[in-house]
Amino acid sequence: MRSKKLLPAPSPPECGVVVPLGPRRGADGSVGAQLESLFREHQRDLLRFLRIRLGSEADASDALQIVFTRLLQRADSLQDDNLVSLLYVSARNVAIDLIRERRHAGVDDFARIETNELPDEQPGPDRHAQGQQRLKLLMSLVNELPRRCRGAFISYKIEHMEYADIARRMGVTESMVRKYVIKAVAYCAARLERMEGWE
Amino acid sequence: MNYPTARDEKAAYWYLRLRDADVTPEEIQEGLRWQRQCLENQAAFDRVEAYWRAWSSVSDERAMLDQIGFERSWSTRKHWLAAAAALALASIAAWFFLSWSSHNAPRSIEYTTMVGQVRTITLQDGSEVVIGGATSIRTSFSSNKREVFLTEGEALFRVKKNAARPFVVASAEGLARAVGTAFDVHRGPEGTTVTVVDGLVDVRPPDGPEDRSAHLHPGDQVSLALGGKLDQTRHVNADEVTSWRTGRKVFIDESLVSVVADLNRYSAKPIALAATDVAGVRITGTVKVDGIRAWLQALGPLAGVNITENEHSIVLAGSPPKR
Repeated sequence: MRSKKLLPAPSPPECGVVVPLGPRRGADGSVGAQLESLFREHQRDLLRFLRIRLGSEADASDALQIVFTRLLQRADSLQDDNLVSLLYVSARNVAIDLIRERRHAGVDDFARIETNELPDEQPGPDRHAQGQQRLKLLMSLVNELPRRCRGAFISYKIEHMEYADIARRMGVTESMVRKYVIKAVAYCAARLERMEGWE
Repeated sequence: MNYPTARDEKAAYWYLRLRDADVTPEEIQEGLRWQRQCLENQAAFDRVEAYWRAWSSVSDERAMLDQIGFERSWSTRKHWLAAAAALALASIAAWFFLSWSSHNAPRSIEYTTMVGQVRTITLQDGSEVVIGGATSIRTSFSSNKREVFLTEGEALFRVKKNAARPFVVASAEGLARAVGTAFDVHRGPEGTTVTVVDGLVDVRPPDGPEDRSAHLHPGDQVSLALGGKLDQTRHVNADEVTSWRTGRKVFIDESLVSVVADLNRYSAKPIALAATDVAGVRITGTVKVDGIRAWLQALGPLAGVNITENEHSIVLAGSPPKR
């Protein structure tokens, strides 16, 4: 059961508008009230960020709840000049903690994605076959990549290696490895979208 | 159509950066701002996210690695190169298999010669290849690249100049890249050797950094050992190296195992090495491919190799001369 009663109501979306957000006094001027108002302003972005990190909407709101609770508990000791940064750092750290917990439990990054988020995925015996087909497709895209790009991507995505370790192994700089992985992801993502009717 | 676009790459950059453990709060905000800045950014970013999520249903990593022939337990550079070579092979195979139906389909054509046969062919782009005996090459040409894979044997390439479509010859040990030039690629049991006749060629292991390629000028030769280790560049007589085209094989300080492998690509009767203790004997000499048997008979006493012949093959055995 996910409770959201601690969270303030979300602010309306500001499409395409960049709002400069400095720290700001809440109604009563306390850090707690400031936090609440900042949460309202940044909720959408924080959720988006957490969803990128954790994979699912549900995990993202759980994580945001933790961020809010943690910060509120420390409200008295917080400086009010850097609350926005603190908000994002906390979100990042909570996400890292959750991912670590999952890894300990032997669960993959996205294991908690609800099946209804993947419309082509059905329960039952077909599921395994579909997974196999999808694996084949994804690997075929990886195999289209130039050699170094592919090597870097496989080490990063499949072997879960750190950029620095991949760099040492490949004999290139860490920034080169990052470039390879970026290229790999950009290529495969664009390619995947163009392959209609994939399983 | 060329993709990914700069926007796709930016989207991938931000997606990956946002997932890094050391991403700063400023970067998080900047990344999020970028992805909702306009519809195009949003679409590119969502695409990257969808791709990343597509992996979630296939968490069987062992199966993934198996599928691309990837050796997981390697830790040394040699193993890395071997794995890279395996990947290179797997990928080229996959490339041929996959892309024949796509719009930018490289056409894959395989050319194979029989033992003793030397053929000259003209490739789709006008480049000319002289293929030696028992040699197999596959070409894969697309609008921006010309790739040739040499499985085994030797071939001399005369490349039609086209800077926009680099000409790359790949073997399991490495890549030779040329724009407009003539060069010889030889693959035998001990690795791949590239010799430049004309122009400039860059040679590197499949996964070696480009900036550490060997830059070969006319007359230069370099070898890549099995696994892809790049040797010192040396100067040779390119005419001699490519004389196989006219029915002569020139060996300069080569191991007997390499010589035998080479001669077997021209000899009507298979040559067999019966003892491993002679495999390493070094051979220097010139063989006419229509006089292999006579040459071996002469070689025997000089190299301390015992030559016998039966119905099926010429057998080399015995001990190398004591020094």
